[in-house]
Amino acid sequence: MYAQIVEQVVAKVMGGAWRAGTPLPSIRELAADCRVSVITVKRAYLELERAGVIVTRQGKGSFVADALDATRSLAAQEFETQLQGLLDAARTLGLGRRDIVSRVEQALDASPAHDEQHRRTPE
Amino acid sequence: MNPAIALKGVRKRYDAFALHDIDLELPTGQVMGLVGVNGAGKSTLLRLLMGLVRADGGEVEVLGQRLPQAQVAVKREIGYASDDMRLYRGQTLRWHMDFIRGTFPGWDEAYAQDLLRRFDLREQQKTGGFSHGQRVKALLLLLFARHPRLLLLDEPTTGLDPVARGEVLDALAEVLRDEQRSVLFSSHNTADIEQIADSITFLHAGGIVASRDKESFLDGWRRILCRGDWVDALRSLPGVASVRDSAPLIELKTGGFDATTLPALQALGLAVEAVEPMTLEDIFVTTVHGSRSA
Amino acid sequence: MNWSVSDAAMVGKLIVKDWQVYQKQLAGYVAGLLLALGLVGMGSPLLSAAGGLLLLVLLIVVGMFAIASSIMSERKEQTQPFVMSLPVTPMDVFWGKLLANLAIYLVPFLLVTGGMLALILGTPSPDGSVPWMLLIALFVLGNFVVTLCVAIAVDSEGWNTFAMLALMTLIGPFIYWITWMDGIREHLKGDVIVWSPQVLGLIGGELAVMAIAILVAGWVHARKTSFL
Repeated sequence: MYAQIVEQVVAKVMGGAWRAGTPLPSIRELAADCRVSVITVKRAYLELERAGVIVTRQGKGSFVADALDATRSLAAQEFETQLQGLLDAARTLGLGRRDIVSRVEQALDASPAHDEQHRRTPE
Repeated sequence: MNPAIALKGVRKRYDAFALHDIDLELPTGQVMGLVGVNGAGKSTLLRLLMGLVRADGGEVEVLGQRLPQAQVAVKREIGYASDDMRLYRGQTLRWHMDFIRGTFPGWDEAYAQDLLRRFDLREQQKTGGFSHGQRVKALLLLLFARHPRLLLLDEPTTGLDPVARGEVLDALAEVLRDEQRSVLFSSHNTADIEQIADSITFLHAGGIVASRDKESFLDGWRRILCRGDWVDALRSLPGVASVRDSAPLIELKTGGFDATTLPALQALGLAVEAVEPMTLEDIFVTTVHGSRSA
Repeated sequence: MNWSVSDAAMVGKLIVKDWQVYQKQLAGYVAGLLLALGLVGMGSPLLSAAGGLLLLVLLIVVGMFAIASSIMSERKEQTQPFVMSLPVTPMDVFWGKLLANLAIYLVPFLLVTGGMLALILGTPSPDGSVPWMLLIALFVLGNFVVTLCVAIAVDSEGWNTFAMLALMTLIGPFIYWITWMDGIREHLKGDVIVWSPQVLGLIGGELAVMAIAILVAGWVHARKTSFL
């Protein structure tokens, strides 16, 4: 449940609607607007702070963190999550280390966008 | 700050049913959801808090004051609605609104008109002609428009169509804005409780089975699928509510999930395939089935 | 035991509420009573006996109706939780019900009693029958008060109906009893109003019964642990 709130805030930050330093709505305001419990919003804000997306200043409320750090750390988190997911799925399939690596390489070869980036940086 | 509700050792006995050892606290500014099967005691608990029914023993304190001694002062600040509450059939909704306006402090006519529109009710209609859903909405309108400090709601969304349910949840969410206002509501729509409650109290057979904040309550429940051979020791793992053999997997539902759960399963020779959180509805059904077969 | 009212204004609001909810039905009965009074007033002996009987029956029915409407239907229509969720104590509700029903009943009752008095004193009918008429009127009022108190105190529809019917059947024997009683019988056909000791004693007895009924009902109501 709190994941949805986290996603909504992340989307606003990533999309640029909420720039760095923008004050976040108070926990109660957001709870009432989104029709969720106060505790859910509290938890979401906690997760967002841990992810570096927002910072909470004592007595002043919560604000969107510095833009670059926020998007970077979000992307980094996303990568970690997906990576773990990949490994979990691989385990279910019963793939060994070598199989996993070769499958990743196959995917890299097949993916044009990655190829582009790969070409830009000299080997 | 006084808690909105404080019950200590409360008991109430009827012929076929007894509410016993009720210790409950609702801090001000929180929303508590009451879950339980029909006959578990949810309605009785709410009636005790309203003074509609007097406890046989224990202390009942609402908004910092003792019941039944201070019931008039307390009732002035509480809004109560339940399914067995009816309005005067021959009178219009407007008559009821005027009656409440003249009886309670804090009537907000502008907000009442807004609610009339959102709830799609006609104030000149006699309440005897209302459908179930309209009656529930009318009762809720009569109390939302007073902005009471504490709301005691018995099944506020049961029997409402999705549009009406949405409007009621919207109105309930408005209450969240004010940290001085608290809500205790019982519901079969576990989705409502999951969405809007800060804490959950689980009633069964007249006693409290669990009362915790929602997040940690939901965090403690997991559905675990493992692969391996059945071991009887599975049942005696702490917090396990149900174990099912659905070969080739074993499905385990536990309310005591923590850092030791997965290692314990592995120690029993099982390989963990998946760990999933459970919806409140699933937790509810699992708990009730578990206590019935116990 | 606390007999007091937490907020007189609140009790007043409860009474007004009962008036507003039940006024339409009441109007019909008052009209019927006025009709019967008119019949009695026409003077011819056959019509007055019929009128008098009709009046008595109507008075009783009005009483039962008032009680049935306000108290028993409050239970059947499940409006009790609504009332109890108002800022009131159970005793407030008790006094509210008692006074509201008494007030509703007194309107037709005083009309009829006053009308009968006027008829007896104003027409050739023997004035000596005034105490006798008053005793019957007070008995009917007493019936009403006792039935009302039973209704407020006891939640069972069965017991309420039993009480109403039982008391109604007593009216006939009571009238017979006082018609033949010493101290009343001999003055019935005369033109002088005599307040004999028997009459005064009976009046006192009737008032005492009403007071006791109210006290007992209040005591029972205050001890209730459920107000649904």
